[in-house]
Amino acid sequence: MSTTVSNGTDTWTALIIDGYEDARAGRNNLIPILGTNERAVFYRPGALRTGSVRVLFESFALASGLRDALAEGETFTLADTDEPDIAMTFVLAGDAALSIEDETRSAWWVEFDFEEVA
Amino acid sequence: MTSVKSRAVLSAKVEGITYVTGPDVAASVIYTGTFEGGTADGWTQSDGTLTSSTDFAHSGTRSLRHVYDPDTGTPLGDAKRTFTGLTSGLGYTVSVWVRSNRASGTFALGVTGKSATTTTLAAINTWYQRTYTFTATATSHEVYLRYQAGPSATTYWDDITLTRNAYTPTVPDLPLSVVRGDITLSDSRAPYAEARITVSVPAEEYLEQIDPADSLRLVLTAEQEWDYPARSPETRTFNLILQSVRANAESGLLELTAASDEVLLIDGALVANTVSTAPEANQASLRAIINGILSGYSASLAAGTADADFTITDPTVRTNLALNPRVFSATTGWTGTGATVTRLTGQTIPGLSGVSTVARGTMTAVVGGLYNNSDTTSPYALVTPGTQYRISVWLRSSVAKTIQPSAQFTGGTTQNGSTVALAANTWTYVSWVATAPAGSTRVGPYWYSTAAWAAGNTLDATGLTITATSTSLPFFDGATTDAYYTYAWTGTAHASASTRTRVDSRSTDILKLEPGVSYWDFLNPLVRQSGYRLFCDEARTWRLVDSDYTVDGTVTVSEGFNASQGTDSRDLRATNADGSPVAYTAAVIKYVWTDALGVQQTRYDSAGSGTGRKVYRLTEERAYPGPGQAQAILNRAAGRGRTQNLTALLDLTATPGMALVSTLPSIPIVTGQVSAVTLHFDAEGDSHGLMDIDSTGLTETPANAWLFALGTWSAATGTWAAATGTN
Repeated sequence: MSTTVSNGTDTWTALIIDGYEDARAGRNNLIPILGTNERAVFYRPGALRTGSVRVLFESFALASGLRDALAEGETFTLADTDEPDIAMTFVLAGDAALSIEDETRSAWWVEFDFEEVA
Repeated sequence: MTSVKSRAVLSAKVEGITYVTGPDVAASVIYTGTFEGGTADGWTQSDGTLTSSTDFAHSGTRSLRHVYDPDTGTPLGDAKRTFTGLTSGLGYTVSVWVRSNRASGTFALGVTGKSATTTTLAAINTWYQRTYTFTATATSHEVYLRYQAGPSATTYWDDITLTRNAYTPTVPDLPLSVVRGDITLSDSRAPYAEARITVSVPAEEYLEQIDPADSLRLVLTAEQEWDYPARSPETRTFNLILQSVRANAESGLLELTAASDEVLLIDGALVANTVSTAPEANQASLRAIINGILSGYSASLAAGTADADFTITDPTVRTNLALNPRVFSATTGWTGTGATVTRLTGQTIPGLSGVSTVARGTMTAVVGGLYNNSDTTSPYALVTPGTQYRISVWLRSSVAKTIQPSAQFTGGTTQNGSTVALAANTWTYVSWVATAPAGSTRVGPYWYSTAAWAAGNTLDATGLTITATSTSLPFFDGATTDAYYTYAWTGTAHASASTRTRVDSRSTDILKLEPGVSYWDFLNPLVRQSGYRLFCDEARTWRLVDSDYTVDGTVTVSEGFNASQGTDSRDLRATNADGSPVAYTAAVIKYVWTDALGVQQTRYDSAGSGTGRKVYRLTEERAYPGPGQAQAILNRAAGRGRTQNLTALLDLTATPGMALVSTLPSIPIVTGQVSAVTLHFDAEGDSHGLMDIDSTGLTETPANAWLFALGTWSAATGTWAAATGTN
């Protein structure tokens, strides 16, 4: 299993992807109609994925390198060999956080919020 | 009841900005002709045979042998091959190797219908490479090879290639990613269509090209599909002119506005140092006046019957002093010198319509002519000394003759005009200006020969005009009729002077195009005075329509179906989008302008009663076009102040001019006409899928009105068949 994050120039390969969650916001417009309880619906494509990812790196250098790159304001790709459908292009949508792995004290977590982009 | 379910999308593009759609595509060889297979490989010659030959080869063992007729020296024609599967717009290169046993022949390598590469071959029996590059304008082209070097010339072609050159894929228009868009169509203001869209900022190289100063067109395409109720998908395109571009640094979005083609006339004007009278050439037709302006923008009105006559009439009351000017009343007032005068009827005088009677002088063998004795016959052609008088008449002689026009002034000296050479039997218009001398009181014109007639020769005359002006005027008398003037006799018909007074009261300056005045400001008063409206719709169709103009279709806004919001009010203070009042019972328009003589002029046009509840006042700073605009404005106030502001589910077919039926909770059913519609599109906001509707001419309509009956109307019997229900 291989999880990678890349900005097209550099690629960060994680030991594991420990956390992933996403959501897609619906954008259908529900319009109230005079004289009825029902609402009309104008369908619109839902938003792309937003969520968070938590990945583990074997060294502080790798982890901090990714954290700093995320904060620079670039577009990244996420890919996972076990879950090909998780692949996406995204940008940092909130914080990129770095923390030490508690059990071994020798690996480093990077957790970041993302928003998928086209 | 099932609720409405639909989806709507708005796309946009800016025309004329080339957009790269993908990475560069490398060159590709799509044909190689080596002729190693022993055939001519599709190459043909119009009169002769091309063969795969082993005589010589640039590579391999064979080449294409091309022979000219050795006996006659006539070239056997080009070697040709048609290549298909080409892509129009892309570049291609043909490369050939050629050798010949003759030098300095005529070489050409090209594509039929295009220019060619032409060179010579310096030496015989030597291979030369030649290339030719062209841009495909179709999916197939014929390549030809030519080397004409006289009798016994044999040419060999080898290693022929056709390469599709490298290119960058593009489309001619820049697509934009729309975030939101609002499009308004309104029949109560100009321009008719306006749009405001917000898009994602394109790449910088494109952003710099989106410049409103370049008259770029913004084309918006709206598409709507319906899940419920079942309706066919609809598409509507709005072809507008880009007006403004605003980049929002905070949002990272681009805001654009665009409008329909009226802005061309609103912004455009005559750029010159002098007033133009060009529109006067089309004065008889408002449509022609408008088309004269639109032609500068390669546009014209859609076919239609709405038109108006703006013929510029003479504001001065004119008097024809001549007595019996068309010889209607026998020969009264017409005498001959050396001639017997009779009266002819049923005559046709080219250039003088409506007159068929003439005075004929049958001559004796003397110097003589015809005389209209307005100076000796009561009530006389009275003159004022020092005043210029134009004397005009139509003459016809039975023989070629030189005639001397003469003005006999009673109390003064005779004044002669230039002699006129009359061709035999040809009506000729003779006109000159005489100034009444001191002491003169009356005038009588006289036309006589400068040389003696032969007995029996004739001189005919009719259409006599004596007017106190040097200006040439068309013939008139009290019996003349046309649409522009009223004509009257001052006394007994055909035995007195006659007057001409114009019917209209419009300024003679109305068709003078001033430098700097917008074409819209020049045309619109003429249009409104005629009771019409000029507009250009979103499809770039220009229309001139009257107040009864409607568009097929009905917009229904109903509670429980598609009405989302609505207000109903009756307010004498309500105003339209252009600020004009909704309700009024009278209209007064004040025209203020400076005429060609530099004098400030003021005229009024009014309609309705001054004791009415409300008067609509408007000031126009331009020449008075005549009455009509006030009445046209009053005609639009049919709604008596009732307005409804409606918001309904989006319907791409909604158009100003359509009938409107509005059914809101707790409000009577109201019918009228759509005057404006605004369509909303938004990728995220709550306005997506809605349209705002403005209306006019609203009236309460009972539910059992014919308007809502389902049934069949019989024109033959003038009755409805039994109504089967209501809408």
